[in-house]
Amino acid sequence: MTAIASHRPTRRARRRPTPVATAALATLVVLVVACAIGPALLAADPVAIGDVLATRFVAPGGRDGTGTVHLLGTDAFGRDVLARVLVAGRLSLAVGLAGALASGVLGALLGALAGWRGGALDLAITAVADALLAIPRLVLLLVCAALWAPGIPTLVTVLALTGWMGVARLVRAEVLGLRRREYVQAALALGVPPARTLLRHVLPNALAPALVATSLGIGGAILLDRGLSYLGLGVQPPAPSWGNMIAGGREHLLIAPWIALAPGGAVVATVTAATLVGDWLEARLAGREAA
Amino acid sequence: MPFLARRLGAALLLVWLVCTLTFGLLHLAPGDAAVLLLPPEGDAATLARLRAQLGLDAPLGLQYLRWIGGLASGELGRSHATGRPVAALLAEALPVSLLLGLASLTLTVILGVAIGGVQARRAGRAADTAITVATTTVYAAPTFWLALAVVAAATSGAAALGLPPAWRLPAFGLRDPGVLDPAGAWRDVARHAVLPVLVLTATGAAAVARYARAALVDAARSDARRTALAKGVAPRAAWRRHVAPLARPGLVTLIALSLPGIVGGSVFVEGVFAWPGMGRLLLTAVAQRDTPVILGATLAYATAVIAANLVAELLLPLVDPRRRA
Repeated sequence: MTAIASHRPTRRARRRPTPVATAALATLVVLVVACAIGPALLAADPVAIGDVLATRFVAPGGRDGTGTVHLLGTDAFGRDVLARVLVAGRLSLAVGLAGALASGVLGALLGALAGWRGGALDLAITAVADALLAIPRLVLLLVCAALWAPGIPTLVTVLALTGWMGVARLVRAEVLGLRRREYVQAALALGVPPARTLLRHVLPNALAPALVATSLGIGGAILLDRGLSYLGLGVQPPAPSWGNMIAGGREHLLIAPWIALAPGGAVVATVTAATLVGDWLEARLAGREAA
Repeated sequence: MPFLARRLGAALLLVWLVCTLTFGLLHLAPGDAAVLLLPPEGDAATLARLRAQLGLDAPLGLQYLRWIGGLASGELGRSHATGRPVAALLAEALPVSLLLGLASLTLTVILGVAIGGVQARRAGRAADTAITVATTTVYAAPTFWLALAVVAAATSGAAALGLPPAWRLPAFGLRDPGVLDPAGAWRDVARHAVLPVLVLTATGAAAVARYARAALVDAARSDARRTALAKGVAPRAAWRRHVAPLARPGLVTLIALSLPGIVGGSVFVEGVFAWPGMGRLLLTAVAQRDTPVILGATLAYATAVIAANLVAELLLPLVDPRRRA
């Protein structure tokens, strides 16, 4: 019978982050701090190119022709891979976070509006969301990339414009359910303006799934930025991003795999940690045990 | 069946909306296929003639009407870049993506549900935690990065290990040009499919396992299972009769909604492994601003998405008695 009892963990037990969630959060903090202050501590310049022949393709931990040690080796132009991964991380983390937040906010707003107002507006927003979901994302991304010059603002706009539909669906469903609840009806009956009712009484209760979707979306945004860089539409060189580093390292995969493996490892670590934190949040809200 | 008729009508409307939206979006972007067909030293008169021949000089509304009119008579037009019929291009690329997609989706579902089930039976224990970290890591790895790693392992890795050539798997392409007899050709394609299917299955199974675990753990907390155990149903039977049926509708929806991915192809996996499927077709077409091909591929994909939504809606009552009206 203990097996049955153990299926309902206490409230306190559910609130406490699991060891995995703690480790994931710690990984994220370490990554952010390393990217923020790491480049300042390293002597190596992530962009400047020096004596190419003496410094290129140094294996991780090796010493180049001028006697400098490179922990993660050097790339085809003799630039320190570790310094580049850290500098690239600033951009990639910022783009991932901004892209997920922007699509989360846009999706929450449109979804709430559709669920609250109903009628023609709901129909229009739902139809556009369904249509955008049915267009291959690649087409959307490439059209946007062709319309605007590549750059960080474009990247974030594109991520938001092509990623809001999922959150909008979730929030719309929540708002539809909440609209009929007594406390919402009571607020309206007492004369609270509809806009205020939506903002103060409905949205806060509808945001939980959107929050989880957004936290899971950080990983998605980072992955998509990688994909776009691989297609040459992401962050433009010489500024390093994890994506364009992987794309650049591809040509030297067989003789110097660390050039592509190092930024790839950084992506995997970031996205895994962000996803595990999102999982924990989701499990907490659902009252489920997280792994 | 007025319900089905109404849903089909809505689906057709949505397909039309998608095509119109794509058409409009494509023409928002500056430049067209004609510019890319000529060398940089091409003169204005040649460019103008080429535009007129391709019908790109017509007003946007007329171009749209021509395309929709063609569609109504089952004509998808010809590729600007190669002059080949779009229908023929789709007919070549679709089977390649279907082969890759169906093989990997089948393995993905079997493997993903099995892993998720094993985890849910041990929810909260060390094995469950370890598997979650592992599946999340695979899920987090960019597909093209995983593909590149697999290519490196299959080529230089296999060479370093000293594997005999017969044991090595081909990393690129759909078939060897040298294999001519039909029986050998099938074996050859199968050998070429192993690595891309492996990559697609790994990422897909990781996602399905994550979902299946969550759905099964939720279902295991249900009152139905508690009651079954309390009245003495054997744990295994309780799992099979009371837990699995609760998790099934969500899984069926997830699988149905991943069907369109098969038609869309995987841009990155097809790119890395040089498979001439839908992903590659679309990527090339976009690079060449080949509007008829982009529209044709989008039409195929949108139809698949909307059909999958419909299939999910029709399948749900079969696995979820509560949905039977």
